Amino acid sequence: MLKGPRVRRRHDGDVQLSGLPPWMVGVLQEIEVLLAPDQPGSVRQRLFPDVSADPDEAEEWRRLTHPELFALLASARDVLVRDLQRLEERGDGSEQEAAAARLLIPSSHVNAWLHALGAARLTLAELHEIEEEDLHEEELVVRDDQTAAVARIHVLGWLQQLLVECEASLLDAPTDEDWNAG
Amino acid sequence: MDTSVAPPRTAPRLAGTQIEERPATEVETQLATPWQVLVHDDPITLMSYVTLSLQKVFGYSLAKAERLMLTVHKSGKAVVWAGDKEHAELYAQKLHSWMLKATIARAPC
Repeated sequence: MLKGPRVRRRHDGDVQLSGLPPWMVGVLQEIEVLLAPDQPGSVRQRLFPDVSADPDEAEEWRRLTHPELFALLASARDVLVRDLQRLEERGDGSEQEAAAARLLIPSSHVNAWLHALGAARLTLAELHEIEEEDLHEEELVVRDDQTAAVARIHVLGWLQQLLVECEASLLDAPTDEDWNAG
Repeated sequence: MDTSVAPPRTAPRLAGTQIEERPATEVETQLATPWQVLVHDDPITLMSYVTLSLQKVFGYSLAKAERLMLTVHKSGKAVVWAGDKEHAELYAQKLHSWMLKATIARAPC
Protein backbone atom coordinates (compact mmCIF):
# COMPACT_ATOMS: atom_id res chain seq x y z
CA MET A 1 0.00 0.00 0.00
CA LEU A 2 1.40 3.38 -1.00
CA LYS A 3 1.80 5.69 1.95
CA GLY A 4 0.74 9.30 1.60
CA PRO A 5 3.30 12.03 1.10
CA ARG A 6 4.90 13.23 4.31
CA VAL A 7 6.84 16.30 5.29
CA ARG A 8 9.28 16.81 8.12
CA ARG A 9 11.86 19.40 9.04
CA ARG A 10 15.25 17.89 9.68
CA HIS A 11 17.60 18.97 12.44
CA ASP A 12 19.63 21.01 9.95
CA GLY A 13 16.49 22.98 9.00
CA ASP A 14 16.02 21.42 5.59
CA VAL A 15 12.57 20.14 4.71
CA GLN A 16 12.10 16.61 3.51
CA LEU A 17 9.11 15.58 1.43
CA SER A 18 8.78 11.85 1.08
CA GLY A 19 6.35 9.37 -0.37
CA LEU A 20 5.66 11.51 -3.44
CA PRO A 21 3.88 9.42 -6.09
CA PRO A 22 4.92 9.92 -9.73
CA TRP A 23 1.74 11.76 -10.70
CA MET A 24 2.40 14.31 -7.95
CA VAL A 25 5.98 14.73 -9.13
CA GLY A 26 4.57 15.27 -12.61
CA VAL A 27 2.32 18.07 -11.38
CA LEU A 28 5.32 19.72 -9.74
CA GLN A 29 7.41 19.40 -12.89
CA GLU A 30 4.73 21.24 -14.88
CA ILE A 31 5.50 24.37 -12.86
CA GLU A 32 8.56 25.01 -15.03
CA VAL A 33 6.29 25.55 -18.04
CA LEU A 34 3.49 27.25 -16.12
CA LEU A 35 5.83 29.93 -14.80
CA ALA A 36 7.82 30.40 -17.98
CA PRO A 37 8.59 34.05 -18.75
CA ASP A 38 6.21 34.14 -21.74
CA GLN A 39 3.07 34.06 -19.63
CA PRO A 40 0.05 35.82 -21.13
CA GLY A 41 -0.79 39.31 -19.95
CA SER A 42 -3.83 38.16 -17.99
CA VAL A 43 -1.68 35.81 -15.92
CA ARG A 44 0.94 38.47 -15.31
CA GLN A 45 -1.82 40.79 -14.14
CA ARG A 46 -3.24 38.10 -11.85
CA LEU A 47 0.15 37.46 -10.29
CA PHE A 48 1.12 41.09 -9.87
CA PRO A 49 -2.02 43.23 -9.93
CA ASP A 50 -2.06 47.00 -10.13
CA VAL A 51 -1.34 48.66 -6.84
CA SER A 52 -3.55 51.64 -7.53
CA ALA A 53 -6.77 52.41 -9.39
CA ASP A 54 -5.11 55.47 -10.88
CA PRO A 55 -3.84 54.50 -14.36
CA ASP A 56 -0.77 56.72 -14.21
CA GLU A 57 0.23 55.47 -10.78
CA ALA A 58 -0.40 51.89 -11.83
CA GLU A 59 1.79 52.32 -14.90
CA GLU A 60 4.55 53.90 -12.86
CA TRP A 61 4.27 51.07 -10.35
CA ARG A 62 4.63 48.43 -13.05
CA ARG A 63 7.65 50.23 -14.49
CA LEU A 64 9.38 50.44 -11.14
CA THR A 65 8.53 47.08 -9.56
CA HIS A 66 7.71 44.50 -12.20
CA PRO A 67 11.29 43.84 -13.33
CA GLU A 68 12.25 42.86 -9.80
CA LEU A 69 9.03 40.96 -9.09
CA PHE A 70 9.30 38.89 -12.27
CA ALA A 71 12.98 38.27 -11.59
CA LEU A 72 12.06 36.97 -8.13
CA LEU A 73 9.41 34.73 -9.64
CA ALA A 74 11.84 33.38 -12.22
CA SER A 75 14.33 32.71 -9.45
CA ALA A 76 11.71 30.85 -7.40
CA ARG A 77 10.83 28.76 -10.45
CA ASP A 78 14.49 27.93 -11.08
CA VAL A 79 15.02 26.92 -7.46
CA LEU A 80 12.07 24.55 -7.62
CA VAL A 81 13.21 23.07 -10.93
CA ARG A 82 16.74 22.49 -9.63
CA ASP A 83 15.48 20.89 -6.42
CA LEU A 84 13.23 18.59 -8.44
CA GLN A 85 16.24 17.47 -10.46
CA ARG A 86 17.73 16.11 -7.23
CA LEU A 87 14.63 14.11 -6.45
CA GLU A 88 15.42 10.61 -5.25
CA GLU A 89 13.35 7.61 -6.07
CA ARG A 90 12.83 5.52 -2.98
CA GLY A 91 11.34 2.13 -2.40
CA ASP A 92 11.46 -0.98 -0.37
CA GLY A 93 11.11 -3.39 -3.23
CA SER A 94 7.38 -3.34 -3.72
CA GLU A 95 6.20 -1.88 -6.97
CA GLN A 96 4.26 0.96 -5.38
CA GLU A 97 6.90 1.89 -2.84
CA ALA A 98 9.51 1.89 -5.57
CA ALA A 99 7.51 4.58 -7.35
CA ALA A 100 7.48 6.94 -4.41
CA ALA A 101 10.08 9.68 -4.33
CA ARG A 102 11.85 11.74 -1.70
CA LEU A 103 12.72 15.35 -2.09
CA LEU A 104 14.95 17.51 0.04
CA ILE A 105 14.22 21.24 0.11
CA PRO A 106 17.03 23.27 1.69
CA SER A 107 15.74 25.67 4.35
CA SER A 108 16.88 28.64 2.26
CA HIS A 109 14.68 27.41 -0.61
CA VAL A 110 11.39 27.10 1.27
CA ASN A 111 10.20 30.64 0.54
CA ALA A 112 10.94 30.12 -3.15
CA TRP A 113 8.88 26.94 -3.10
CA LEU A 114 6.00 28.71 -1.38
CA HIS A 115 6.10 31.50 -3.98
CA ALA A 116 6.33 29.12 -6.92
CA LEU A 117 3.49 26.92 -5.68
CA GLY A 118 1.30 29.95 -5.05
CA ALA A 119 2.08 31.44 -8.45
CA ALA A 120 1.44 28.13 -10.19
CA ARG A 121 -1.99 27.82 -8.55
CA LEU A 122 -2.94 31.36 -9.58
CA THR A 123 -1.66 30.73 -13.10
CA LEU A 124 -3.75 27.57 -13.48
CA ALA A 125 -6.80 29.38 -12.15
CA GLU A 126 -6.33 32.26 -14.56
CA LEU A 127 -5.62 30.10 -17.61
CA HIS A 128 -8.64 27.86 -17.01
CA GLU A 129 -11.02 30.48 -15.64
CA ILE A 130 -11.43 28.67 -12.36
CA GLU A 131 -13.59 30.33 -9.75
CA GLU A 132 -13.98 29.70 -6.04
CA GLU A 133 -17.01 27.43 -6.45
CA ASP A 134 -15.02 25.18 -8.78
CA LEU A 135 -12.71 24.36 -5.89
CA HIS A 136 -15.52 23.21 -3.64
CA GLU A 137 -17.10 20.47 -5.69
CA GLU A 138 -17.85 17.60 -3.32
CA GLU A 139 -16.61 14.98 -5.73
CA LEU A 140 -14.13 16.11 -8.32
CA VAL A 141 -14.30 14.15 -11.56
CA VAL A 142 -11.62 14.99 -14.09
CA ARG A 143 -13.57 15.27 -17.35
CA ASP A 144 -11.87 18.12 -19.18
CA ASP A 145 -8.96 20.55 -19.05
CA GLN A 146 -10.67 22.73 -16.49
CA THR A 147 -11.39 19.97 -13.99
CA ALA A 148 -7.87 18.63 -14.54
CA ALA A 149 -6.57 22.08 -13.65
CA VAL A 150 -8.74 22.13 -10.53
CA ALA A 151 -7.21 18.80 -9.50
CA ARG A 152 -3.70 20.20 -10.03
CA ILE A 153 -4.57 23.31 -8.01
CA HIS A 154 -5.67 21.05 -5.16
CA VAL A 155 -2.49 18.97 -5.37
CA LEU A 156 -0.25 22.03 -5.37
CA GLY A 157 -2.31 23.55 -2.57
CA TRP A 158 -1.93 20.43 -0.52
CA LEU A 159 1.85 20.53 -0.90
CA GLN A 160 1.88 24.24 -0.20
CA GLN A 161 -0.15 23.68 2.95
CA LEU A 162 2.41 21.15 4.17
CA LEU A 163 5.20 23.66 3.64
CA VAL A 164 3.21 26.49 5.24
CA GLU A 165 2.66 24.41 8.38
CA CYS A 166 6.30 23.45 8.43
CA GLU A 167 7.43 27.07 8.05
CA ALA A 168 4.83 28.48 10.47
CA SER A 169 6.10 26.19 13.19
CA LEU A 170 9.37 28.15 13.14
CA LEU A 171 7.72 31.52 13.74
CA ASP A 172 7.08 33.00 17.13
CA ALA A 173 4.34 31.86 19.44
CA PRO A 174 1.46 34.27 20.17
CA THR A 175 2.03 36.81 22.92
CA ASP A 176 -0.31 37.61 25.81
CA GLU A 177 -1.20 40.83 24.03
CA ASP A 178 -2.27 38.87 21.00
CA TRP A 179 -4.49 36.58 23.03
CA ASN A 180 -6.07 39.53 24.87
CA ALA A 181 -6.64 41.42 21.64
CA GLY A 182 -8.06 38.33 19.97
CA MET B 1 30.85 98.76 37.83
CA ASP B 2 27.74 98.95 36.04
CA THR B 3 25.72 95.90 36.90
CA SER B 4 22.78 96.74 34.80
CA VAL B 5 22.05 94.26 32.09
CA ALA B 6 22.08 95.70 28.68
CA PRO B 7 19.28 94.58 26.49
CA PRO B 8 20.28 92.06 23.88
CA ARG B 9 20.87 93.41 20.46
CA THR B 10 18.16 91.27 19.04
CA ALA B 11 15.66 91.28 21.79
CA PRO B 12 12.88 88.78 21.36
CA ARG B 13 9.71 90.46 20.36
CA LEU B 14 7.30 88.33 22.23
CA ALA B 15 4.93 90.99 23.27
CA GLY B 16 2.79 92.09 20.46
CA THR B 17 4.13 89.51 18.04
CA GLN B 18 1.40 88.45 15.72
CA ILE B 19 1.29 84.83 14.77
CA GLU B 20 -0.26 84.58 11.43
CA GLU B 21 -2.74 81.79 11.13
CA ARG B 22 -3.17 80.38 7.72
CA PRO B 23 -5.13 77.46 6.43
CA ALA B 24 -3.26 74.23 5.87
CA THR B 25 -2.19 73.82 2.33
CA GLU B 26 -3.09 70.80 0.30
CA VAL B 27 0.48 69.53 0.53
CA GLU B 28 0.43 69.70 4.32
CA THR B 29 -2.85 67.84 4.43
CA GLN B 30 -1.44 65.11 2.21
CA LEU B 31 1.65 64.74 4.36
CA ALA B 32 -0.45 64.32 7.47
CA THR B 33 -2.75 61.73 5.96
CA PRO B 34 -1.37 58.22 6.31
CA TRP B 35 -1.39 55.72 3.55
CA GLN B 36 -2.89 52.30 3.87
CA VAL B 37 -1.79 48.96 2.51
CA LEU B 38 -4.73 46.74 1.70
CA VAL B 39 -4.79 43.04 0.93
CA HIS B 40 -7.66 41.80 -1.23
CA ASP B 41 -9.14 38.35 -1.25
CA ASP B 42 -8.20 35.87 -3.92
CA PRO B 43 -10.15 32.65 -3.39
CA ILE B 44 -7.42 30.56 -4.99
CA THR B 45 -4.82 31.55 -2.42
CA LEU B 46 -4.75 29.42 0.72
CA MET B 47 -5.87 31.16 3.89
CA SER B 48 -2.95 29.68 5.80
CA TYR B 49 -0.60 31.03 3.14
CA VAL B 50 -2.04 34.54 3.54
CA THR B 51 -1.46 34.30 7.30
CA LEU B 52 2.12 33.14 6.85
CA SER B 53 2.79 35.87 4.28
CA LEU B 54 1.60 38.59 6.67
CA GLN B 55 3.81 37.16 9.38
CA LYS B 56 6.79 37.08 7.06
CA VAL B 57 6.33 40.53 5.52
CA PHE B 58 5.34 42.51 8.63
CA GLY B 59 6.65 40.31 11.44
CA TYR B 60 3.13 40.07 12.82
CA SER B 61 2.28 37.44 15.40
CA LEU B 62 0.21 34.47 14.37
CA ALA B 63 -2.86 35.85 16.17
CA LYS B 64 -2.69 39.25 14.46
CA ALA B 65 -1.95 37.76 11.05
CA GLU B 66 -4.88 35.36 11.40
CA ARG B 67 -7.24 38.18 12.39
CA LEU B 68 -6.24 40.16 9.31
CA MET B 69 -6.48 37.10 7.07
CA LEU B 70 -10.03 36.40 8.32
CA THR B 71 -11.00 40.01 7.61
CA VAL B 72 -9.67 39.61 4.07
CA HIS B 73 -11.58 36.37 3.68
CA LYS B 74 -14.89 37.64 5.08
CA SER B 75 -14.88 41.25 3.90
CA GLY B 76 -12.94 40.88 0.68
CA LYS B 77 -10.11 43.11 1.87
CA ALA B 78 -8.34 44.37 4.97
CA VAL B 79 -6.06 47.23 5.89
CA VAL B 80 -2.90 45.45 6.95
CA TRP B 81 -0.68 48.46 7.55
CA ALA B 82 -0.85 52.29 7.64
CA GLY B 83 1.86 54.89 7.58
CA ASP B 84 3.90 56.93 5.18
CA LYS B 85 3.66 56.40 1.45
CA GLU B 86 7.23 55.26 0.94
CA HIS B 87 6.87 52.39 3.37
CA ALA B 88 3.39 51.57 2.08
CA GLU B 89 4.84 51.09 -1.39
CA LEU B 90 7.65 48.96 -0.04
CA TYR B 91 5.24 46.71 1.84
CA ALA B 92 2.93 46.45 -1.16
CA GLN B 93 5.83 45.27 -3.29
CA LYS B 94 6.80 42.71 -0.66
CA LEU B 95 3.22 41.44 -0.54
CA HIS B 96 3.21 41.17 -4.32
CA SER B 97 6.36 39.09 -4.13
CA TRP B 98 4.30 36.72 -1.98
CA MET B 99 1.60 36.72 -4.69
CA LEU B 100 -0.90 38.57 -2.51
CA LYS B 101 -3.20 41.08 -4.13
CA ALA B 102 -2.11 44.26 -2.42
CA THR B 103 -3.00 47.87 -3.13
CA ILE B 104 -2.19 51.15 -1.47
CA ALA B 105 -4.56 54.06 -0.89
CA ARG B 106 -4.67 57.24 1.09
CA ALA B 107 -6.46 56.67 4.38
CA PRO B 108 -9.92 58.22 4.49
CA CYS B 109 -9.99 61.48 6.43
